[in-house]
Amino acid sequence: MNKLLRKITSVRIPDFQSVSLRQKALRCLAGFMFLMILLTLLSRAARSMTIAEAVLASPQKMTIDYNITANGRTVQDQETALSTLPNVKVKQVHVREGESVKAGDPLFTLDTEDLSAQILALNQEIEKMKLQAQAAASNNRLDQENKENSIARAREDYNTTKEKTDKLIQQAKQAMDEASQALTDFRNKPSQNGQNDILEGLKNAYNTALSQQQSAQDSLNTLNKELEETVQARIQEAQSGLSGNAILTEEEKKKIEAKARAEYEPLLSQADRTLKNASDVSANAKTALDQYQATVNSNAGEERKAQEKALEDDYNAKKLAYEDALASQAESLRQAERAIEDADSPKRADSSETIAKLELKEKEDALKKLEDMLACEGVVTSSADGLILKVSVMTGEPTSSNTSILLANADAGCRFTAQISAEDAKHLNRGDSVILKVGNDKKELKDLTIDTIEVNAENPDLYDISVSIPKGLAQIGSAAVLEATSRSKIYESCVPLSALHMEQNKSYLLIPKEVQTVLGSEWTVEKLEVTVLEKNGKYAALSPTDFPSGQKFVETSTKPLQTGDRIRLSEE
Amino acid sequence: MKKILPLLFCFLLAGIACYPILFLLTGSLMADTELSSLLGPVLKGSKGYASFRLLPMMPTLKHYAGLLLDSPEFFVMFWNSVKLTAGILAGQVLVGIPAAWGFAKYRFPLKKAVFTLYILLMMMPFQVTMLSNYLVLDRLHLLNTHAGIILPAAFSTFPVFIMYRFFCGVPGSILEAAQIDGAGPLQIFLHIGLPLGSAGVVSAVVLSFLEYWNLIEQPLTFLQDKRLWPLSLYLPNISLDRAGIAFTASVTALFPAVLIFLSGQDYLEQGIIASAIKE
Repeated sequence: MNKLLRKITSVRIPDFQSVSLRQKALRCLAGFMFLMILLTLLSRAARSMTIAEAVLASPQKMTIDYNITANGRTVQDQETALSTLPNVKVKQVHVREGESVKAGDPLFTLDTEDLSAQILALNQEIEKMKLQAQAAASNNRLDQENKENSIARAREDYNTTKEKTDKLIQQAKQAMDEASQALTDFRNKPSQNGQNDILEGLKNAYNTALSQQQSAQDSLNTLNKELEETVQARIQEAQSGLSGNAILTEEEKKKIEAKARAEYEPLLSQADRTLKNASDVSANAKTALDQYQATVNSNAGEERKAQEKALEDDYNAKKLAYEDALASQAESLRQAERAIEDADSPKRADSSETIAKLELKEKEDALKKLEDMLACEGVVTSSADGLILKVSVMTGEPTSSNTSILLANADAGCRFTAQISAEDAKHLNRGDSVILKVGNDKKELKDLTIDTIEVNAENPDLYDISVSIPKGLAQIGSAAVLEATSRSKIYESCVPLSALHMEQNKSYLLIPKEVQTVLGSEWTVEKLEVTVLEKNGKYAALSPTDFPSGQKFVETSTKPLQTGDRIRLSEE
Repeated sequence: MKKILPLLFCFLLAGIACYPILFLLTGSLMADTELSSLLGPVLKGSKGYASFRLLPMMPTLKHYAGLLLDSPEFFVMFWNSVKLTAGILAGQVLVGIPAAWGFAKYRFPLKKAVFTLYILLMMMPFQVTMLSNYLVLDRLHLLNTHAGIILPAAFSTFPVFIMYRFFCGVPGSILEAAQIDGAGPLQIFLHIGLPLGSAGVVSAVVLSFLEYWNLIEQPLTFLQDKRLWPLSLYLPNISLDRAGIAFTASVTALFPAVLIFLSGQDYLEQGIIASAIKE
């Protein structure tokens, strides 16, 4: 072998034709082997250049943080609406929209001449209203007095009716009792004297009936008189209830009279019936007396029967009269009670006096305001520090009852507003702590919380977020940046987003796999499908069941990798 | 005409024998698309029949570049083949030459029986002795090592047989003359036997190289670790859709064998002539 090597290495080709085929073959073989050595090195170098270097990492246990920033501006938190007396001419406006004012600064000035004229007119109105209120009060008093009188009169009528009817009843009872006694006596002791007694009794009965008739007539007359008085009283009451110089018409008076008559009709009817009964009783008594007297001269037997019959008839008539008297009393008392109730019924509500007083008070208040404004020479000042948002008054125009000046109240602090995407809004809630960087110098305001997060009315993909800023920390109208961090729960397996790949809507990681090749143990990559539970811009949380414990993954590589590609490991 | 016809016939036979080599060379220069279109019915099961061209339509050196510059595993296997072949040949030279000289020039008991045994073992295919070889190598802890391939092949009987025939051709009178001159057995072997039998040695070496350069069964059976595999296992390891690489690897693997044959061609011829004359 050494000789062979010496022969190969001592290459001397003075003449190509003199070199044998064997030597040529050997030299070619040597060259071939040398070339293979060279290519071996080159291929390894080329492989090392083409193999990607991969950095492995292990999943981390961490939270998925969402850092949200939003650019916005501070606006007023509270607005104060300043209004003034309406319908007063504006003499001068001292401020404009967007201007800052302090408490007490003049905003606009009202015309003092207009104020004075309004004060004068208002005074006159107040005088009129005072007179109206006085008239309303006296009318109410008069109505009250009339009512009281009506009640007293009704009560008096009731008592009178009761007395009279009691008396009538007593009389009727007495007559009935006497007739009964006369009948009894006649039946028990019929004699001449008895005839005289009977005659006397009939005369007494007749006299009693006459007196009852007279009483019934008196009652009827009394009722008619009461009716007249009631009609007059009501007419007068209605007249007093009218305002100003109004008077009742004849038709209205007739209506009042008809109503009063209707109310008294039952009493009058009853009184008529009582009178009629009394008249009948009186007539019967007269007839009985006449007949008895006529029969005194007739035969004794027929005379007795006739006398007895007459006594019985008399008794029945008196009994009937007594019952009628009772019924009449009941009806009369019922009517009298109704009259009392009617007199005591509440009258229609009349609030004219109260209204007049209230209007008077209102006018007086308005007058006070006008006088106060005049005392200030018509200058309207700001009630608080702030920013003028809107000026609704114009020089030379009268003021309205609406807001004159809209002021952003600086004393109430301000509010930061901004818009964030729906994706960011998912991670923020009311009450979450945020940091604001306000103004050009990015002054940090900490310990602020989110007040509201609401869907934007115009664009449902955006959310309006607002944060209250306490007084003195920021100015209205300043630009600011909101920074908020939302933390999720702790996940066992979190990987950087750079390690996560997507294919056909499925996420996967590349994991290293050791394979035995001709070159020895090499590392290749293969896919591992995973389920992403949550992710932010940097990390993704994976389902712990998808990723075996202790398994590492390819975090980054120097070249794009596909399944099966060889890699060179580089661990961090 | 009489001279041309035999020549043509010889050329035809030579062309048929050389066609596979031309097939390889052409295929190694064809692009993948051309190979797919020609060999699709064979490689991918597409319809029609496979065909081939002598000259590529779109020749390219892409496969050579891919194999020789971007396939370090090819070179691992190449050097494994070089290591195995060199080891086996060295072992055969060290062991087989003395054995052949011994059989040719010495008499010892059971010489014929042992030589007959050698011939029997030489005739047995690998599959017959594979299991016994596996068990022995396993017991010797030589499985999955190159030594497990080299050692059994180094003690192969075939080169002994080849060299034995050549050593038998060395005249005995020369050996006797050397003995008379005071040369010892080793000196006779080294200074007379080896030079005179060098044709046989080279022949055996060339033939062994051709055999062991393409060794497949033993590495496939006894080597599990792919890092130890020789080049003969690279081609079956390539998928058929990389036909271009396969052709290029075949051409590259063929090259050393051709060179070795060319370098030992004279000795082979001399050996054949010498044995023919002797016989």
